[in-house]
Amino acid sequence: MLLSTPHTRHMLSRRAGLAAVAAASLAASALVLAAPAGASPNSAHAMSPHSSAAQATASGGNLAYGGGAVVTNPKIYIVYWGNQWGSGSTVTNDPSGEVPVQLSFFQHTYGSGDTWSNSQTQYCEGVATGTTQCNGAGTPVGHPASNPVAGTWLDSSTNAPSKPTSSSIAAEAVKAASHFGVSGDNVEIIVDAPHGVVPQGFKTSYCAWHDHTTAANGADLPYTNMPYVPDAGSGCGANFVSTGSSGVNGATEGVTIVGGHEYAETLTDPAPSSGWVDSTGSETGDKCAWISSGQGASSIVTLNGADFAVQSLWSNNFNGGAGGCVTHYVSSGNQG
Amino acid sequence: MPSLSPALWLGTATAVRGVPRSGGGQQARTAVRVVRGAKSKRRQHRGPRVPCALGGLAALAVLVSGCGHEAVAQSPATPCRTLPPAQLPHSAGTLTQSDSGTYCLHVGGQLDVFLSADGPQMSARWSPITSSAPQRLAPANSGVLTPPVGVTPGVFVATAPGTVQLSSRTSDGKRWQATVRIE
Repeated sequence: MLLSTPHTRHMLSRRAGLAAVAAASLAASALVLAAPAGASPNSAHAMSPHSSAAQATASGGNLAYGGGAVVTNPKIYIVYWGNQWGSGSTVTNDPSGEVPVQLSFFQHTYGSGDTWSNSQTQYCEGVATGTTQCNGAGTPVGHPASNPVAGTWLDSSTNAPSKPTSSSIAAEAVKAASHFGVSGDNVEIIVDAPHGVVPQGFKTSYCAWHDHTTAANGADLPYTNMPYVPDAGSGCGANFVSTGSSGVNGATEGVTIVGGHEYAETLTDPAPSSGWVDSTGSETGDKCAWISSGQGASSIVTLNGADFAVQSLWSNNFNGGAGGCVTHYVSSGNQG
Repeated sequence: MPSLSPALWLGTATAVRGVPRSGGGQQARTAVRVVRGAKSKRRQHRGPRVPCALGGLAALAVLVSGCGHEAVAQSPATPCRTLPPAQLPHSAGTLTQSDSGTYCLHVGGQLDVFLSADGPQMSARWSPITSSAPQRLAPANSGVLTPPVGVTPGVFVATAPGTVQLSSRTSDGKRWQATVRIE
């Protein structure tokens, strides 16, 4: 994954940022999960970044379609895994404030006010394998018209293991899908590990990953392993982008940078690697991860009035079809 | 049984005998295996050649694969090790820059590699990890994960039996290499 560059026109005012943070705090304090499928806790709010040095390479050329599914109608479900988050249905142990930031971020990724994830709508399904430019053919990746967060749930019925394996994370995703009553490629179950829990490889090998498994009803089920990213500090994005006057908290920048990366990759490749990947196997986020300057540098963007740190995403139709990393996308002719 | 070329055999020996970079500071943080100047050490690290006439396991190997380098490469002197535990779904195991030597992988198995840049500035990132025989150990989708800042990931899938080297280097001259024996 790569990070995208900041655009001043996307910078939120300090006021908006603070308001978002306040709203996020409110959402956190009253976070009640258990929203079954379709239930949609609202509220949201923002964050932001700082900068540092690191960059990725964008080798491998444009993304090409692998013949599988994309997400045409995104619905996000978040499960807070384990009673380390809190007992009952309320998150009470979130020392770095990840929950409100994450929730707010996804709650703001919709409509014309989100020109960040919109770049992924250029990709599609139902076209010839190997296609690099959909140009209106097939069925495009969906861009939510409203808040895509369809449910959150604190699974306090269990204690998350201190070093979860990938299979145990997948099992929790299946459990959450059953709780919400959902399955299929339009669903993204995000399994949030609590503070102090270190899934195998977290911090040293990865910040997060996405995959798919099989739901209880046999349908495909995309999910994301989302560790407690602030525990990784700068290695997973803390203070990666300068916050300026945005009001974003540098310590939680990684929550949205990493979370946004996985979200975009789930949109375009929900059942890896049958969706959109390049010749080296990289997905849309990988090609733009951890860019700290120049085109595609990570930045703070405004999503429907709230500021968040994000990385850029790969756009095949940027640069006259040569492709590149962009943080804002209105159309093929208006992106950067 | 796969037939191994002399070149592949030499590569195996090199990887096994990589030595830690000298000096303290950031290099001391990990047990990075550096094979700088390894060519001159290759021969001294070769295992003893086993005459075809000798019995035991060596003879059995010879019967199957013939005499010469192939027999030596597959002798008990260069066994492959079990991969360290996997960190990603669908993976048979994970290697880092502190791992070197020869590892076993079955056809169809997935191997993940994560190489971390040294030092707080992470100025010397590892280059993309390459397979010496992509027709046997093919690069695969590494895009499912978000690597930490300064980490170079690589995901490979074994597609045919044989011995393959994985390698990478940094801009300041360090090299990492490991050997994968696909069975």
